[in-house]
Amino acid sequence: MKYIRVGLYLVLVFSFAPFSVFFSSFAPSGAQTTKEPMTASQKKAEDTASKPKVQNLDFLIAAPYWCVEKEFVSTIEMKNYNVAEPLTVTPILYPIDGPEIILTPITLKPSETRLLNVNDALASYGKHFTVGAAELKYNQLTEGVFGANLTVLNAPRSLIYNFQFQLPEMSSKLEGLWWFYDKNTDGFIAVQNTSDKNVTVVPTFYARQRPYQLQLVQLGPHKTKIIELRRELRKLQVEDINAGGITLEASQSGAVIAGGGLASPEIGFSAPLRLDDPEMQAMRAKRLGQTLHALGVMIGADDPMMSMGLPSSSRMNPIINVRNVSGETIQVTPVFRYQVGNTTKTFALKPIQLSSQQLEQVELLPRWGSQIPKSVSSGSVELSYTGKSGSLLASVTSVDQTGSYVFDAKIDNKLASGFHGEYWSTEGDNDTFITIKNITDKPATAWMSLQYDEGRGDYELPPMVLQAGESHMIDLKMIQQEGMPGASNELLPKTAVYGGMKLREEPAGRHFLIDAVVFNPKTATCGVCGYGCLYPTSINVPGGTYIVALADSGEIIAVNAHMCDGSNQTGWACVSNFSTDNTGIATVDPACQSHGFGISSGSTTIRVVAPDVPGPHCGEQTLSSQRPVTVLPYAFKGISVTQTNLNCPQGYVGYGAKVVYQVIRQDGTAILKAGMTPEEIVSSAAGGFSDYRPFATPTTTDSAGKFNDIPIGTCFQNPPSNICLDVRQQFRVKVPTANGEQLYFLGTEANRRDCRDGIKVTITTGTDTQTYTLGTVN
Amino acid sequence: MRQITTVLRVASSRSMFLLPSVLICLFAISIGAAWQIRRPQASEKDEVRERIAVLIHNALEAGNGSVEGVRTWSRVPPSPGAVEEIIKFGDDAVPVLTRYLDSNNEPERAIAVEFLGRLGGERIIVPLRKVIKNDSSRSMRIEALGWISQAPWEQASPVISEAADTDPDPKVREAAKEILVKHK
Repeated sequence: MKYIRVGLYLVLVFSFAPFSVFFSSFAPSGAQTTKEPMTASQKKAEDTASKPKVQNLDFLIAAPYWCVEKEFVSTIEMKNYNVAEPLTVTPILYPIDGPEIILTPITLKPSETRLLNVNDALASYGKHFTVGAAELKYNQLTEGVFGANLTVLNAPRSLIYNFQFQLPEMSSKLEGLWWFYDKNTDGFIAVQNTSDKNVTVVPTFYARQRPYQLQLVQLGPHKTKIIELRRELRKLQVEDINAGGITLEASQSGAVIAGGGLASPEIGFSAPLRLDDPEMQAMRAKRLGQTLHALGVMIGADDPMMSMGLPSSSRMNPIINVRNVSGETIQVTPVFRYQVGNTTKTFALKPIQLSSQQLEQVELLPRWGSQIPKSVSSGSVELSYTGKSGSLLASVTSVDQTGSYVFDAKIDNKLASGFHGEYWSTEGDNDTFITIKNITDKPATAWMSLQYDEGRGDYELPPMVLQAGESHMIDLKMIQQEGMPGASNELLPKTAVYGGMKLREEPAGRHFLIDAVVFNPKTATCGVCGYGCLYPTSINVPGGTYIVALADSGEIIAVNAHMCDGSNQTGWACVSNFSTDNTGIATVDPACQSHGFGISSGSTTIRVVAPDVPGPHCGEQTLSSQRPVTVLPYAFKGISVTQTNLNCPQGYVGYGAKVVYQVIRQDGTAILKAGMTPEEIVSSAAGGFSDYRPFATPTTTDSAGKFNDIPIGTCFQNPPSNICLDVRQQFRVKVPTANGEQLYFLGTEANRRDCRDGIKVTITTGTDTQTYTLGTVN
Repeated sequence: MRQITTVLRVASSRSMFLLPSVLICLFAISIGAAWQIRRPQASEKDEVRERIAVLIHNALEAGNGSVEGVRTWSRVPPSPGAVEEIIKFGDDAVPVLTRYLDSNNEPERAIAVEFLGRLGGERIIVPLRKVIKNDSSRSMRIEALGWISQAPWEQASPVISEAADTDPDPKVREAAKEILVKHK
């Protein structure tokens, strides 16, 4: 019975479902965070005003907003993606109205997720600032070894904001959209200068397709300013507008990040306000196509089979906002994709025409119970659009009728070789839902694992095969409480209350989108988890020199990847192209399951190129590697020499022998190939022949590459004594190929001493010598 | 006038023999032509016989030599040209080579076995079976087993199996069993 229950829960866990932002907030921060300990000596050092020195300067990721005002708790959730090496990170807090605060560097163990309570950190430093931005600096070879998220939670008022730490945007422009859930909703945008120079930012609101330029924002190095939406609208005298766009144009590229939140505190409504780099969006569209995906979109009533703990009366209404940031009219086609049993179904809404800078809102709940079955409680929203890549900006937020339960779907749509998630939590009333969607048109396998206990614990779910377009939702609390066995029958212990996660894909990836939320039905808060892209930093062709015999195929050439998190992944051959520098020596199959083929003796290099694979910053890259190849000549190895009748003419006597040879590579391994024709020339003081002739009985090798030379020996006419004759055999071999046959001359020789009463055979392969003596040899 | 008439009569009476004579001549020519057509075939067979004799002789001669005043002989693989000729003769070579299998000269028999083996095909089964079953030389039987394995296996395998079971010499039986094992 127990197994049946476990099986049912497995089905539930792996069955599709949406995830995404839920209510606005998760568990109280005090329960979620681990205070970064500070020793007395450290405090003393602080007191003496000797600031800790920033040791990690190579990479900087930033989050534009933290708040420790009354009832607000800000927590930085950070994960060392590296599976093998520790990582030291220096957090720096930049209060809006005060100097920077460099916190004690934190060393994260491999795969560790660590929580840093900003309230506690400020308190321990005796600082009383309330709002600011944060930066994390670290020194590594690649940026993709670390990720962090900043959660600002007001549990009593059911408010939550999330900011994923990110590298400064590549371009100077950021685009976003805002909308007010009700007349009491207000919003803010925190604009942060992460550079060491002064930056000017030009903010522009777009409302009813009209631009409204706001006052310039002058930002000193690492300074942050807050733009309050209602206040600006009032100044512009357009208070009646309840949705619009915002553009931030910085005077310097790669310097500014921004993010914000929307909130109606009286009813506990809050939602994130995201700003993205349109150039990055356009770049992702190259891979993803012109479709934005929102995963884990809640709709209608809570699913009784996989409840998120919503009140039974709650009806989640997905609110879709779409904004055209281009200068041309585009058409947007919203599709709601949901799962019924094992079947993926879709409901397409009427296409929306969007003029330049136009913003429209669509609600899906009215379709629930009519076009969308009432049994459906979640799905994904796909927004396909025309026009230029990156023209569309969107948000999809599910809100219940009270406005308190809010699930926001993060539409960042990154594709990679996998993902690292900074944070999951099942502490107290917290639960974490992870949603994975296969956005390709073929089935694909996902391997999801959860790290906990400072990175020491690892729970890997059984592999999940998702059909084209299919979504799976994973409920971590259910896995934990029901003791569902992992891929190696391991359990996720109940004592593990938070940690990080990792999604592995098949080599080269780009199959899945992922999103996850940590939600708390008691406080009606839901936080969005941050994700970092997993990608290869290099590929390699293992095995040292590739040895292949003449006219023979070698082993399959493997290609492995070294991933940014320090792990290694096999199976990259099928996403790589192969070639050799000298096709006169060796050729190679150009793609998957590649074998090398020896054409002539010598050495050359096999080149492997993995083009357009996932790269840093969730972008793309081309990687290459090489492997030396040596084509070895064949050799004949003596297997046995036995006496046999020489069939001499009458009056002659001699000692005959039969030699069994095997065709081998120079390294001694047998070439198991039938149909090869050995040929010889023979020379001796008594004569011989100098044209190569087939000599084996039968003429060709058997499937073991063996052949017989029978008989060997010399007949002597009436010899008075045990007379002997030195005979030399030199060899070559004809090997059948796809195009006929190939002739190879060998270094092998058989030097014989044929005597009346015996025979001595010395076979030299070039690397090996074998001597056989039968009878009496003088 | 009479003379003229007499001449005409004589001519007329001779013409009575002319037609049969022509027919006889034509028949004779036909027979002769038919004979002529058949005759070259017979001479080609002779040619095969003669040519194979030369090839075998050459193969034997190629093995001759001397060392320290002592004449020597060793088996020399037939030249590619010789093998090519044998293969060109095809079926016609089989009866000629088969006759060499009864030679008292062991080297001749050995060369004939090798030529048959290189000829290959179903046609070598009968002559090589004869060697495998009856040749007094152990090595000749072993060699013939090696070559017969090149014939179609369904016809060669019963012969090899028989040798594996019944040959009086253990080395021949062993050689036959090895061949059977390789073909499994």
